[in-house]
Amino acid sequence: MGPIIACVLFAGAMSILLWHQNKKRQQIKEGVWAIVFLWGAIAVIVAKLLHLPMSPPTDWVAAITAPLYKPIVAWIKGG
Amino acid sequence: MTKGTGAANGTITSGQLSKLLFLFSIGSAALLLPTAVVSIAKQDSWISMLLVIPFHYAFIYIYLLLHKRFPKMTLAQYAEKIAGVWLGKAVTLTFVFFFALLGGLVLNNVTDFLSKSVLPQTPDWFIGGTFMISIAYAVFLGVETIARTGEILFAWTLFIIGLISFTLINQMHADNLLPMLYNGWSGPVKGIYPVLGFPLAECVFLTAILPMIKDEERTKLKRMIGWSVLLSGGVGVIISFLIVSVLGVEEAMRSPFSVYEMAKSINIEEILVRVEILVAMVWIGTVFTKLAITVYSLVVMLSQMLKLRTYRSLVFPMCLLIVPLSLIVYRNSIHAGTFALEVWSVYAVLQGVILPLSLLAVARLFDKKSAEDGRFPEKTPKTPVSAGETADKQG
Repeated sequence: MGPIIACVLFAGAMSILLWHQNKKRQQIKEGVWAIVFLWGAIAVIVAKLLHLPMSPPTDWVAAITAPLYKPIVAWIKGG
Repeated sequence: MTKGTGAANGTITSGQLSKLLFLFSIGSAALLLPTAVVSIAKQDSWISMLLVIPFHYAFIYIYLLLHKRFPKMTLAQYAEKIAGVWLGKAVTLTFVFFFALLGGLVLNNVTDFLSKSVLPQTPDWFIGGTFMISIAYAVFLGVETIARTGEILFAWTLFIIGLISFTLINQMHADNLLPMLYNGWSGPVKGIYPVLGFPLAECVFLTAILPMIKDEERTKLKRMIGWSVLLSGGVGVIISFLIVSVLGVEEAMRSPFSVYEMAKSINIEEILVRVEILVAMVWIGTVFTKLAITVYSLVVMLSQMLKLRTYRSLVFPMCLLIVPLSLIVYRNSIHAGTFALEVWSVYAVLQGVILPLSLLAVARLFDKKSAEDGRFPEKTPKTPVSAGETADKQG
C-alpha cells in the first residue's frame, strides 16, 4: 500500500506545482490539461503496482491490423 | 535558445534536421533490426537493406510534399485544415497514440538492453525512469537543443561505426555471404518488410519538425534529406553485411543484439579488445535522440490538437506516462519479437505513410494550402489589464 500512497501524494504535490507554475504564466488551460494527463499517468502506474489485469496496447494494435498483417506474414513464412 | 525564452521551441537548419533523421533512422534499429532482417533474408539481408533506400526516400517525399503546401504547420494543424476540425482532431489523436506507443517501445528496448547486458540487477522501472528524466529535460528545452545534441552525437556515431567496421575486417568470412540469391529475389524482397515499419514509417516525426526549419534553409532541405537517407541506408547495408560475414546467419538469427555480439569479436593482436561497450554507448546516444524526437512530436501534436499555447506543460506528464507504458507494452521477449517482426510494420505504414498520403491526396484534390504560421508563440501573451481594473488600482 505504501508505494500507492506515495504515488498519490507525488501526483498531488506535482498537481499543485503544475497549477502554480502555469497560473503564474497565465496558462490556465495548459495547467488543467497537464494535471489531467499527470493523473492519467499515475492511474497507469497504480494499476501496474496493484497488478490489475491490463492488456498491452500492442494487443489492440495487433487486433486492429490482423486482417492486414496475417496474410503478409503467411506469405513471408510460406517460402 | 534557453529555457526562459518563451513558449516557442526554436528553429533548426536543414543540416541539423538531416543529422536528426540519420540518428533517428539508425536509432534503436541499428542494434535490433539486423536480427529481424537476417531471419527473413538470411545471407542476402544486406541486399534487403539496399533495396529499402528508395522506399525511405519515397516515404519522406510524402512529408515534403505536405510541407510544401503547409510550410509552417505540423500534421496536427493541417489535418484540421484538410479534413475539417473534428476529423482532423481524430487523425491527430491516432498520431498521439502512435507516438506514445513508439515512445513506450523504444524505452522498452533501452531498459531491455541495459538490464540484459550491462545492469542485470537494476530494476527496469529505475533504468526507464532515469533515462526519461534526461529525455524530459531535452524535450522541455526544445527542438533546437535536441538538434545541437544530435550534431555532437552524429560525429561520434559515424566515428564509432567507422572504427568498428574497420577493425572487423580481419574477422570477416566471405563464405558466410554465400550462396548469394539462392532463392532468387524473393528472400531480399521479403526482408524489406520489417524495415518498412521500423524505422522507415516512423520517420513521420518529420511532419512535426519540418515547420521548425529556418526560412533561408528550406531550399537545401531536399538535398540534405537525400544525403541523410543515403547515409543511413549505407550504414544499414554495412552493418548487415558485417553481421552476416562475421557472425554467420545462424548466430546472427539467435542473438537479440547481434551488433553488440559482433563487436565482442573485435580483436586486433590482443591490443584492441572488448570494444563492444563503444557500441552500447553509441546506441544509447542514438536511442536518446530517437526517444527525444518521439516525445517531442507527441507533446507538440497533442498540445496543438488541444489548442494550447505551449507544449511544455505536457512534457512531464507524458514522460511519466511513457515509463509505465514501456513496462506493459510486451508480455515477454517472445511477444516482443513477434510484434516487432510481424505486426509493427503494417501498423506503422498505415499510420506513417497511408494516412499522410491520404491527407496529401485530399489536399491536392481540393487544392488546400496555407502559409499560415502555426508555430507556438515566441512569448506567452500577457492578459491585458482592463480599464476598470486600472482605475481600481489607481484609486
